[in-house]
Amino acid sequence: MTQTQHSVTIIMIEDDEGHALLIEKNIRRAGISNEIIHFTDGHSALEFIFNSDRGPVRNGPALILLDLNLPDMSGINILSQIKSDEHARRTPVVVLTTTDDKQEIERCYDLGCNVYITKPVNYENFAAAIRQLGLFLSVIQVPDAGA
Amino acid sequence: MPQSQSEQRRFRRSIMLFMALGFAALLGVVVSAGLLMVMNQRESRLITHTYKVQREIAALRFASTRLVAANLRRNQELTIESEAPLSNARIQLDKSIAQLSTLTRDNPRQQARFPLLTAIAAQIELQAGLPAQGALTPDALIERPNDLVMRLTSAMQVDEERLLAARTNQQRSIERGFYIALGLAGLLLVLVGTLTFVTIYAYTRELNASRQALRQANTGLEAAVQERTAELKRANSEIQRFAYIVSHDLRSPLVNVMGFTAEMETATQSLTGLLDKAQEERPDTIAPATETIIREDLPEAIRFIRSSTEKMDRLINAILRLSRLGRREITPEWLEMDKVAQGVVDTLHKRIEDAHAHIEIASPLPRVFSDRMGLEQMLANLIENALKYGAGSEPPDIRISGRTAGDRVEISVADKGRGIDPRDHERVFDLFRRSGQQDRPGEGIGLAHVRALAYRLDGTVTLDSALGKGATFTINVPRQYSAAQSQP
Repeated sequence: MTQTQHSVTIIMIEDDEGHALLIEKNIRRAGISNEIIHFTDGHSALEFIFNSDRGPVRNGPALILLDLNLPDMSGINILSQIKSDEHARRTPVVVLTTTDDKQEIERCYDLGCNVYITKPVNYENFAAAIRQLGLFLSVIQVPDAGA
Repeated sequence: MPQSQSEQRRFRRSIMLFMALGFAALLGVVVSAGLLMVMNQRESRLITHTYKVQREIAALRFASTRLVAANLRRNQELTIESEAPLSNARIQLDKSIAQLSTLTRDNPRQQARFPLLTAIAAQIELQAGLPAQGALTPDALIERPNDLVMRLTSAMQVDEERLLAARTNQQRSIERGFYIALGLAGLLLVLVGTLTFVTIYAYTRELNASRQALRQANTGLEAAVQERTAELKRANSEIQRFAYIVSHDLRSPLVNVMGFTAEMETATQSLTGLLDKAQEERPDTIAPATETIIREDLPEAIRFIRSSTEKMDRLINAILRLSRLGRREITPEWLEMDKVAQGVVDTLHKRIEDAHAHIEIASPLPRVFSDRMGLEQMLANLIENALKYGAGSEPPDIRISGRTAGDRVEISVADKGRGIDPRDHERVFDLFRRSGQQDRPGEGIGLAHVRALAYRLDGTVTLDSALGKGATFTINVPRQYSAAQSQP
């Protein structure tokens, strides 16, 4: 994995290892080779985002994949913390969750979530969604840093 | 504390008894008083009678004495009185005898004295020179007739007085009896009155106590109902939350199952490619069992996993949908059910055409103030069912009708399809339950959904059907939905 200072880091906050693996596989299948840093709980993820030298607040561009159901805190909480922080709020957040509850989706968009993807049981749709996410990633990448 | 039946009966009986006793006593008092009065009158009449007799006797004596004295004076030739006073005395004498005879008519002892008295009077009158008309001259004259008159009348007087005394005594004893009876009746009245008062007082107090208890029970009941309602609301929302969380969390592992099944499928495809290549190049290295595993067993297993997972996802989604139904806000509006039904039929256009179905909307359907989406979903589900369960090869024939019944509205969807066994009429409304031949796709969700929707709109859905006779589903909702009456 080549690391340039402009390449986008993908921060995946997902407590389900299976989901994490599936997401990663599909991202890779979509031809995206960016670094993926995986967190299984909210606190360590927030710690990384705000305080790590490699995190988006101190360092370069990042994309956050966020699951709403986490063991230690709610994803909504993480989302609002990111979006209310002056430095972190420009980081795009993709909410990936199992529910398609309308109220919850609206709430996420109100808080500033950039994309909301439902994890469907129908795997083909899921793979397609992830691949679209790959397209999205290539759009936000800084032009001179080839994927 | 409510009074028992027997207590009430006892109270009624004792009050009746007291009243009867009281009336009897009163009657006794009245009768006694009446009788006493009659007695009194009789006594005074008797006394008056005796006085009259005495007065007449006095008059008789006086007249007789005068006549005898006049006779004496004439015999001694002292003075000749004028005729007039003497004749008056004679008249008085006759009258008194007649009066006395009348007064003592009922007394044979007195009556027996009158012939002698009359005879002596006649002699006195004769000797006084004033004979009564038609009076016979007596055969023999008695000496000193006035003394005899005096003795006779004295005896009469004594008789009369004795009679009076006897009668008065008898009267007195009867009167005493009545007074005793009166006193007893009075006592009885007082007793009955007291008992009645005590009984009524006790009864009233008991009544008051039970009324108080009833009021308390009522207040308690209201509180209990309120408490229970709040509990139910809480339980209901808890169930909805539970269903939501469960279905939500159940989907998470399913994503994994499906995802990795797909991974396995991809792997199987690569394996199949390898197998093809190996069979082409070195067929002797492939055992037949390996081929079966790669070409048949694995895809079969994957197919089953996939179809089961998909089914499970549908079931979870159904639970999720039902739980959301309870949380959805109801937005009532005035709906022309004709248009609503037509709209539903239009959206099912393709399905209706495929089934060659005939759908009739029996206009006009009533207007309803209710939730559009709820009614649309109910109708859509019922029509879809009618399309799905036709009778054999016959094209479905569906009729949508409606009527207003008081403050409620009924919308019916009737088909001439295969019908539902009456034993399953309740079951078909349960989640994941179906009835009859399972030859059509479905999870047993539609009617559960319809019923949940109907409940949500304060309504009901009922079924009238028999096997082979078609089915009629009737939605019954209030004509005007009111949020206040509905349970969240």
